Amino acid sequence: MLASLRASVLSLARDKALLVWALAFPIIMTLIFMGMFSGIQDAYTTVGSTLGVVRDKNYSAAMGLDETIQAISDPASSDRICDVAYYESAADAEAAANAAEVDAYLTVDAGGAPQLHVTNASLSENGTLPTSVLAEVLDTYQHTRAAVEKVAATRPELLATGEAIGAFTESAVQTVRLTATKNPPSPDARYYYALLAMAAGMGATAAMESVRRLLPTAGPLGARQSLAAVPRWRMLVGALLGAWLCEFACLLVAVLFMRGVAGVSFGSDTHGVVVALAASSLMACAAGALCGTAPRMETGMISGITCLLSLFTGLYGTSSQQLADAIEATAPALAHANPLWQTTNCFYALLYYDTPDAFLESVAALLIMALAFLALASFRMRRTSYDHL
Amino acid sequence: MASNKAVVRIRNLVKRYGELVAVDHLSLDIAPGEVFGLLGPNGSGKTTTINCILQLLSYDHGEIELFGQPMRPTSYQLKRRIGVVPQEVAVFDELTARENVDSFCALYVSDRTRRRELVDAAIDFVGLQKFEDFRPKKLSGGLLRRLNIACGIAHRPELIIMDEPTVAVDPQSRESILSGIERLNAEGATVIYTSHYMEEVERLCSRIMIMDHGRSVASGTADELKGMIGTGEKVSVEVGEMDEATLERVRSLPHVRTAELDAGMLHVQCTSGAHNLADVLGVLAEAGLSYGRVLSEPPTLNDVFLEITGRALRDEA
Repeated sequence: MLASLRASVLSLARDKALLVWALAFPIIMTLIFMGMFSGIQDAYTTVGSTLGVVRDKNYSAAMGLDETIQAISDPASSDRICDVAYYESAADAEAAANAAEVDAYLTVDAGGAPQLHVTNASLSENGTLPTSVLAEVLDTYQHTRAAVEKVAATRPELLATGEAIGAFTESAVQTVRLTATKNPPSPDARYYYALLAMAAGMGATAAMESVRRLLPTAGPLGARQSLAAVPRWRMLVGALLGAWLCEFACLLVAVLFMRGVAGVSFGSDTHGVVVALAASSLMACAAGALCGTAPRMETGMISGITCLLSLFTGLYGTSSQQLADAIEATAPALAHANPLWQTTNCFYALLYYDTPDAFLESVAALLIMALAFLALASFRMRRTSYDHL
Repeated sequence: MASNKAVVRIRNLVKRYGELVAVDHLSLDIAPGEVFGLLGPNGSGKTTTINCILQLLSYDHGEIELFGQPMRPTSYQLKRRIGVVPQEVAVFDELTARENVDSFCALYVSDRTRRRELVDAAIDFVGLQKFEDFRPKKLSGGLLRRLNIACGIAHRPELIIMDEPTVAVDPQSRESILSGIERLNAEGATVIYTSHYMEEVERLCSRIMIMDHGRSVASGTADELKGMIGTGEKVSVEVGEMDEATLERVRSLPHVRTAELDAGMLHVQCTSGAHNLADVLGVLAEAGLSYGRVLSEPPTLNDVFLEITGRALRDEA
């Protein structure tokens, strides 16, 4: 078995086809995706608005307002939601808003109440989201200010210490970052996961070649190896193990490249990523072994099948993703029967889901598929007749 | 020959492909230390017989014993004692020559230290020392054939089956391969050798079987085979001019099969007879013809082969 494993690893490591499809292909596609998706993150991210602030005497007199504005515009703060441009008068600020230089501008009336002004121009240019967030901040400021004034009027002794005032003002910004998923959404991650699934599928050719070399019907090399003084199953296990190791190593390098160079997030569960790679490469090897027992199966046919299955993982763009999502919604069994979908879902589940259930389900599905493919391959190999030698 | 001494013992082997009987009740014994030549036209059943011996093919009837034990697909201890050099070069394209020899040797020998010695010896044996780090694609046809042999013999098998190992190699490589086979045999290996090159078979083989239509049609030593056929020696005499009447008298000699005059040379093909050359020269002397060079060639194995298997082309549908 070790001899077969060694021969398999050495052969596949020097086989250009495996290196191209399982290693070079995902790396090259990653580089292409990096170029394609360079602006996609910005499109999916809420960019802070620019707020015009009329810095007049009312503004200066408004208790805690300037601190609030600075807190929400501090470039070093994670709570930063806007940039600030200061103006001397309301007219200047309005002109800037009309010119869409700012999304809104802030004035303070004689009573110290902040007022947010939004023009049609700034609305049409930027939409309502940034200003609604700003309005929420200013509402919070108003409530805090009203509470402080009320305490000052009724129980002034409570504000005698700086700590008490600080308790009101330290939460000047009441916005909280909420995440619905375990990790921040990454719009391009799905493409990379589908790409990995495709690379795994392409790697099935490695196992196919390894198995072919052991079949006496496939050529003189197979016939010669059939004369070995070791049981055939041990040679098959060795060859498949070699193919699995090679494909796993290629995919691991591809993941490291995606993570290190393209910054693709795979979540924090590194062991899970390794398990997903092992399961998907095992499934691909088992599928390749099954293909190897079909004399008429060509490597190009594996590539074609892999390309077709990748359509339903969302690899080919928005339409492909919509199709994949539609199939998953309307015919989940069909989606789940796609081994490449299961591979993609492994990584997806690791990144987004709080519990490991979905990940484990996909890994289990891949292992079941692998066992089924191996069982079929073994059955076909037992049936292989040498009679046309 | 006593069956318990035979390295290979086949009895009544029958292999059918549908209606076609590829091997038809074949029996043979090969003794230890023999170089056994298996001859026959294409499709005569040689390779099928070898594949049956190696259990690459199932067969319909018969018994095959190697080293006194029944050969089965799972007879791994027996397989350990067999080496095969297939007709086509069967090596890993991605591995170097040394890695190839090691890989095939590892199918029989698990101990790495022992294997290293065997691989070194096999590479030395076929003279691939300078090319051991070359991949097969970088090797010439002759070197490839030698690598093919090294892969088959590295584990020091007692029985070596060589299926046309010298196809498409230059004379130097062929000579190297043939002398290598002689050395293997001298070291004690029993060899089954198939080839279409009769001079190779005649040189190497201590015993020869000619197969046709799946059957053994003749077997024995080369001399015994030559004695079995009616073809005798070929007499060539340089006569210059010769009249038609004298030529007819030569043709009418009792053991003359054909007689032709070609560019001053009289070529006479005889059947086996004790005084063929003297009889031909006697006719020429009676006719008063002087002659120059006289050549008498005994029948070759090729003559035997053609007489036994016929001259009709076999690869035609």
